[in-house]
Amino acid sequence: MRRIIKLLPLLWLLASSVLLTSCWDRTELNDLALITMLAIDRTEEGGIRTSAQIIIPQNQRSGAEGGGGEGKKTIMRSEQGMNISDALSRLQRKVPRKLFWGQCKVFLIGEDLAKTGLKEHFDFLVRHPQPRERAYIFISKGPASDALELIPPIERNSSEALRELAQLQISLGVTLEETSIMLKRDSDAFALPYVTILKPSKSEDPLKTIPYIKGTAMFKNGRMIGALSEKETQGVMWVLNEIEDYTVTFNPEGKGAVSLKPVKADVKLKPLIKGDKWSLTVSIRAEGDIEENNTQLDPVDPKIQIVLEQAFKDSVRKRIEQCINQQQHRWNADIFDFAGVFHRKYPKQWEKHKGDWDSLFPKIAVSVQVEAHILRPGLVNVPGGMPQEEVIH
Amino acid sequence: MQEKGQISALQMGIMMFPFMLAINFLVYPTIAAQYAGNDFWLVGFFHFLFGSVIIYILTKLHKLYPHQTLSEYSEKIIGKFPAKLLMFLYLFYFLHSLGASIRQYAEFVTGTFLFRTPILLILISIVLLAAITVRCGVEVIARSATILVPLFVIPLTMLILLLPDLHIKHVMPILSHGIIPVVKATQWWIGNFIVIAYLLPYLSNPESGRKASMFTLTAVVVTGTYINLLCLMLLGPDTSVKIYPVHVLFRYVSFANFFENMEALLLVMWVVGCFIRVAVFYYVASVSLAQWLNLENYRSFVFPLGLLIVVFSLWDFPDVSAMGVFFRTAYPFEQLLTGLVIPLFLLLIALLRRKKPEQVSVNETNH
Repeated sequence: MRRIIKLLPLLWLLASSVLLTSCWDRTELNDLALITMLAIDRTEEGGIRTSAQIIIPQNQRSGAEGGGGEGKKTIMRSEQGMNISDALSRLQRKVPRKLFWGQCKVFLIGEDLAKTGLKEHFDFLVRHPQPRERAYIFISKGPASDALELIPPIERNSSEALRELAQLQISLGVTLEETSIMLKRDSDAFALPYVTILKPSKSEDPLKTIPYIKGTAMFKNGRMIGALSEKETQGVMWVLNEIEDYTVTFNPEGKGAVSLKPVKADVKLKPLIKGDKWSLTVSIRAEGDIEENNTQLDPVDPKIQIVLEQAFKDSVRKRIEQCINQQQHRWNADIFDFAGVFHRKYPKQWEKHKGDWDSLFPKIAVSVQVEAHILRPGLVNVPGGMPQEEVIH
Repeated sequence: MQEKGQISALQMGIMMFPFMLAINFLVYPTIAAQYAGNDFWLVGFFHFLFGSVIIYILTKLHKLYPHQTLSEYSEKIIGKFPAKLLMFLYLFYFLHSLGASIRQYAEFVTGTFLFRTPILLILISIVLLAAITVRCGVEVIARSATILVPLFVIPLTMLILLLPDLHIKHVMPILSHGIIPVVKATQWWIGNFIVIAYLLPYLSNPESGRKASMFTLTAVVVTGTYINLLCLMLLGPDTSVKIYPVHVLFRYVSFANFFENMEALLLVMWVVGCFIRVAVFYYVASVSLAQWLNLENYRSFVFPLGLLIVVFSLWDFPDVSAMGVFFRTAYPFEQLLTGLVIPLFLLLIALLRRKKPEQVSVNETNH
C-alpha cells in the first residue's frame, strides 16, 4: 500500500505530461511556413495584393556542405483580396503549411499603396497578434513584390539584407511601433525609408542583387506625398538626431575635400514663442575624426583646425537649413515633428493653434546653430601623400 | 475562527504584492492613458493616498475587534440583520471580482498565446488549481506566494533592457490639462486592499499588520509607476490604443540581438500573479460565505463556489469590449464603495459606539 502511495506522484507527473502538451495550440515546426518578409501592393482595381517570402527549409544549408545542386532559399507566393487579411487568407490556400509570422521582420509597402493611403491598411499590422512591433517597415519604389524575388548574393534572403541595412544606422530604420506612434503624434507628417532594387553588376544574373535604402518617403495625413533623394535624406537624419557612425565630406576653402568619420551628433530643438512669432533653434553638437584629407592643409595646426572646423560647421549648417527649408516651403510637411516640440514646451499656445499647424509650419523662423569639433587626425598628421614643402601651415 | 492556520505579517505583505498588481498592471495603463493622456503615470500618487487611507481604516477596525474578520465585526457594529445584508453585498462583490479576474486572465491567454484553446478550459484550470490551494488554508496560499513572487518580479526587471528605446520626450508636457484627468485615470483598483480585512485576523504578529500593508502598498505603487513610465516612454500616445501595452513592452525588448521575444516571460508572471490573486480572492470569498451562513468551516464550500466563479466569469461580460466599458465606467465606483466608503462608515459607527458605552449595552440587549 505504502509503495503505491509512493508511486502516486510519479503517476501524477506522467498524467500531467499528457495534459501539458496544449493539444489545441500544438504546432510542429514542419507544419509551419516561415514568412520572412511581406510585401503589400495595390492592385489596379483598388484591392490589395500581398506577397509573402517563405523560407524553403530544405535549402537552408550553406552551399559548401549541401551536395546536390544549389536550390533557391526562399519562394514567393502572392494573392489578391479586398484587404490584407482577405488576401492572406487566400494566400494560405496556395501554401500547404500554416503561415507563421514569428520570423517576419520586414514589411515592404508598394509606392502605389502608400500614395493612396497607408493609414487604412496599417491597422492589420498592429492589430494581428503575430506580426512583431519591432519589425521594420519600408516603402518600395515600384511594386513591392519585386524585391521578394531577389536572390541576395551575401545574405540568406532579401529580407535579411534590408533588416541589416536598417540596423546599420547609416540610413533610416523605422519599426512598426515607431510608425504607429508617428501616425498619432502632433505633426501629421512623417518619413519612412524608401527602398529601391540595386542594379546588379554586369557579370551577375539580374535577380542576384538586393533591395537597398535609397532615400526617404514622406507622408502627410497618412498618404505618401513624395520622396527625398539620398542627399536630402542625410539632412533629415541630422534633424531627427539619427546620425551615428556617419561620414561627412566637406570642402574647406575650395581646396579639395576632407572627410570626417565617425561623426557623432547631438541635436537639440529649442522652440520659442514671442507674441505671434514662432521660432525654433536647431542646436547641434557634432564631432568626428579625420578619415581623409585631400587638401594641402595641415589638420594638426591649431590655426588650420579652426578653418577646418568652420568649414565642417558650414557644411552641416547648410545641409540642415536646405533640408528644413525644403520641408517648410516645398512640401509643407513637418516630418521632424516640430509640432510636438512646440506642444511639449508651450502646451497652452499649442492647444490654441493646433488646428492651423499647416499654415503655421512654413512661417516658423528656424535658425541652425552648429558647434563642431575635429577630435583626432587619424594615423598621420600632415596630408599623407604630400611632400612637406607643399603643406600649408 | 474559520481555521487554525497562522501567517506572519511579512507573508501577508508578500502575498498582497502580486495580488494587487496581477491583473491591473497589464490592463490599466490603457484605461489610465485614455483619461489622462501623457500624465497617466502620475496616478501612483493617488493610489498611494487612497491605499494608505484604506489600510488605516482596516487596521484600525482590526485593532478594535482583534481576531475577527470584516463579516464578524460588521455584525457587532451595525447589528446582525443589516450586517448580513451588507455582507451579502460583499460576497457578491468578491464573486464578481473573481469572475472578472479569471475572465481577464483567460482572455489574455486565449487572445495572445493559445488562440485555439477553448476559454472554458483555461478558466476551469486556474479555478481548480486555486480551489485546491484554498482548501489547504491560508498558510499554504501564503507559502506558495512566497515561493512564486520571484517569478513575478524577475520578468519586470528584464524590462530595463528597453532603455535604449525609451524617449523621455513622451512624458512632456507635464500636467498640461491640470490634475483632474489624473484623478479620473486613477481607477481606484487599490480598493482591492479590502481583502486584508480577512487576512489580518490570521496574523501571528497582528501589530505589524499595518506596517506590512504599507510596505506592500509602497511596493505596488512604485512598481505600477515603473510600468506606467515604461509604457509611456516607449509607446507615447500609442499606450491608449493598445489592449495590452505591457505585452508590447515584452515583445519589443531586443538587447544585443540576443535578448528578444520575451513575451513568454510575461506569460510566466501572468499565470503566477493571477494564480495568487485568484487564490487570495477565492479564500476570502469562501470565508465570507461560511461566516455569512454562520458555519464553522469554510472548506466544504470551496468546490461548489468554484463552479459559481466560473459561471460568474462568463456572466460578467459577453465580450472584451463590454469588459472595457465596465472597467472604465462602473468599476471605479464599485471600488470606492467597497474599498473606502463602507469601511469608513463602519469605522465611524464603531468609534461612536466606543465613546458611548451605555448606548452599546442598549443595542446589545436588542439582539
